[in-house]
Amino acid sequence: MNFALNRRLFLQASTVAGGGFMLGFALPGNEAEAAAAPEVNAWIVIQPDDTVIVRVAHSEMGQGAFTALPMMVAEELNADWAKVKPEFINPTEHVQRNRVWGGTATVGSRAVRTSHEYLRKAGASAREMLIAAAAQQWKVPASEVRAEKSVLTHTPTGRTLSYGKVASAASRMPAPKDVALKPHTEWTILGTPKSRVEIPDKVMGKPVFAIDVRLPDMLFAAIEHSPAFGGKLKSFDEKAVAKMPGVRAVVALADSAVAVVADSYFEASRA
Amino acid sequence: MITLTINEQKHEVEVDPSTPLLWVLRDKLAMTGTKFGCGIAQCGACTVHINGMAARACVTPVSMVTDAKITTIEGLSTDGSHPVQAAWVAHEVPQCGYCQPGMMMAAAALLTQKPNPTDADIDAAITNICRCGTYPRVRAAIHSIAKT
Repeated sequence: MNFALNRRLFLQASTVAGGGFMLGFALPGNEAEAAAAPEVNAWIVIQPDDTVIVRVAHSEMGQGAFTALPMMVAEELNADWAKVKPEFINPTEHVQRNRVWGGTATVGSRAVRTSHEYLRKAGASAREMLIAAAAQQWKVPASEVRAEKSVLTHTPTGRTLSYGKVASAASRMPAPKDVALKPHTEWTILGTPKSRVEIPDKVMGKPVFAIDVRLPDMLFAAIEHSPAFGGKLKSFDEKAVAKMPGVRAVVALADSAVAVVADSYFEASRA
Repeated sequence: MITLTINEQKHEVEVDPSTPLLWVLRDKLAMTGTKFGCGIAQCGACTVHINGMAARACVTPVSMVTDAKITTIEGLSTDGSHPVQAAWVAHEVPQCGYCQPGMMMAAAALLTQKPNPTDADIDAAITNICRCGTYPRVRAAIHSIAKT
């Protein structure tokens, strides 16, 4: 739903476009990005105010994936669910980053069934990186640091740091090679009822469905084909149609249909 | 040039007067909350209010509503606080959500006319089609507003 240029792409684009300006800050690209909003790993961005952005690679069609998939990440991340903000991945970025978020097809009730393992591992891995960053800051062994509800606690002394405070440092930690997942008996988010997070937008008519996408200079096509199966196109009055308001082109599609391309869908379909 | 009053704001649009209101909203004014479903007044995805009454925008020529007060989902409230929207959130009515702007506009109009509708009233007034099958929750949400 959100195809807007995201911050990472914006930074890449603006770094190229305004190279001299960016260099003026003497910040290498990675540092600038991390300062903007640290990406602990591809799935998780933790902002300085502790908002945990969890990326969702499947579409939300009312089945609840936009809520259920972030729950998997948040469970292992030991994040405070109230601070989790699901966000759809940007398809352009997905391609640019060599399909870092894996399969995006949303079909056959598979989003939830097939995403558990890698999403939970992403959450667990980020949690270990946050723990490592806090341990480094306190100069204590990682085993003395506990992560719970978006807060890191040094158990022996009771010192605490919120996730947002160490996210930047955590994003530079090496990702652990293997992480243990919690047994389901320890789950506090998964297996509990949660309100679907996209509903408030849906009751305001805000979601952008495919039919709502508008791009600069976009044209619309309407197709007329034979009402009978296998019917062939005999003729059409291209000149008459081309004169109608908004119409830009009339195109025969092989020998079976005609497409009218116009400035708006209504103008195309009327023609 | 046609002047329309939509969500209490005046809009001037350059369109053929026979253009359906739906396409003026969506294509000329970029108000895409009102949806195109069937285009023949059957499904209700395009439901808006014309002088407070629910109407199918896909078959309403824009020339018919130049003197009317038009309300779309974007104008039901600016912050989702309309009782219908609040009930829709509380009951988690929408699934995919495509038909819901029209569904909510139909529900809001019904409740203005009949603050305590029966199931039969709801069935008669809300003929909108929902492919996800949210009808039981639509009913429950409407009844919850009637009680308050």
